[in-house]
Amino acid sequence: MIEALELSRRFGRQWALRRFSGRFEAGTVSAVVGHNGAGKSTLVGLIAGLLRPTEGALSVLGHDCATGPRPPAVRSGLGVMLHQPYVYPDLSGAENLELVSALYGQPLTSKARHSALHRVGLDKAARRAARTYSRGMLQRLSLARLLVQTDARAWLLDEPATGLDSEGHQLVVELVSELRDSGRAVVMVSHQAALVEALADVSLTLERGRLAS
Amino acid sequence: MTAKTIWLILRKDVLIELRTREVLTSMALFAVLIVVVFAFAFSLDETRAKLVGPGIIWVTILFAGTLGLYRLFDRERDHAAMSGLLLAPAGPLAVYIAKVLGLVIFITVTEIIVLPLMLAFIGVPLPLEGIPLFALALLLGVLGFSLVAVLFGGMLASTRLREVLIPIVVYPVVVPVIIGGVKLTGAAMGDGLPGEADNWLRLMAGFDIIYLALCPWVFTRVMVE
Repeated sequence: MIEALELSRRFGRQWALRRFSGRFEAGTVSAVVGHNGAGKSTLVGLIAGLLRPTEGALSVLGHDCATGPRPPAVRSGLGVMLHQPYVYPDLSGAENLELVSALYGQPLTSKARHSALHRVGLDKAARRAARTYSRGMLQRLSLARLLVQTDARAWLLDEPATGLDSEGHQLVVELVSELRDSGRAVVMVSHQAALVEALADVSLTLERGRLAS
Repeated sequence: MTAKTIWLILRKDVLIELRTREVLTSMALFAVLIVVVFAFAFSLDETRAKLVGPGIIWVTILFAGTLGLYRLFDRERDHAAMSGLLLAPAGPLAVYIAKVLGLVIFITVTEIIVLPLMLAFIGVPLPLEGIPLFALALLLGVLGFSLVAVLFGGMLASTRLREVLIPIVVYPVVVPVIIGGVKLTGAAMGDGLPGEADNWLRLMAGFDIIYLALCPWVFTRVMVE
């Protein structure tokens, strides 16, 4: 589903990622771990399409994504959950979820919206402005996207359990397991050893931009 | 998909504005302040007002538009919302078009609120037969400014010195349409030589076409770092 070959990215003179090669398969959760500055977020940015590789090849969902604009099939087939929650503070939780879903061409029915928000524990706060949410609630709202972006065949999750309590951790484990069981490829960046241990089928360690042997 | 996405982003910006009134309030207040300062600084009589009035109007549009641009992109900077929009299936082009339309709408609404005040403060009579030319000048000028401003606003939105850099980069590029706007506004107010207005209209329309051809293309390429 996602394959990188000698993928590299340089910022100025500094290589953030150097000759990374790896495959992320369908129905597999691949954890990318490493210290701060190891190149994990750079790898996510490259696969997501927010960064352009300096060198190397990248294939996402069968399309060459190292150069040129990405086809809509890749954009709609790749779900991305960045480290910061993609949220507009002046819209309610329900409106934020509806907007993201509509942007991905999947308008939400009120039943589906309620079901997703209920699953992440935000049904009672659905009509409140996201500005009033705590960090954990914002993260739960991001997690609700995993339930509504059903066209995504692969997911990139950058620190999916940030700000969550133990119940929230369990929710992440359940949701990511469901993605794997439904045949999605999941690439998960996390510092949390317990989460990696609970979910990862494959674990890749980055050290100073390189894949550790 | 692109048209739908443009509508979704535009509707979102308008909805947030209706709730917060941040962009329009700050733009309108700022525009009124500039006009008041100019009106008192120049102690305008009718002859001087005709001479400097069009310039004051366009400086006000330029500054208020820049303020609106900052606010429009600040919303996208918080919580990585811009990254979320850029990753959506319709891609950066839809984001660019939606933001241009949003800025055009916000500047136009500000003008509707502030222009009568401006004309009253500056003391320039705008004859009825001059209104279509004035409206056309505003349309072409605001469109040209928005096409360029959104390109650089998006590019520089995440930089630390964006408030300084954006005017430095945008103003020189939009100078032709602003000068055209000033000249056409003067013509609408009964100033300038006959036939001169057509040349300025052609110049403004020509630059708008150039911006329209180049800016979206550049935006879609530079928004991936």
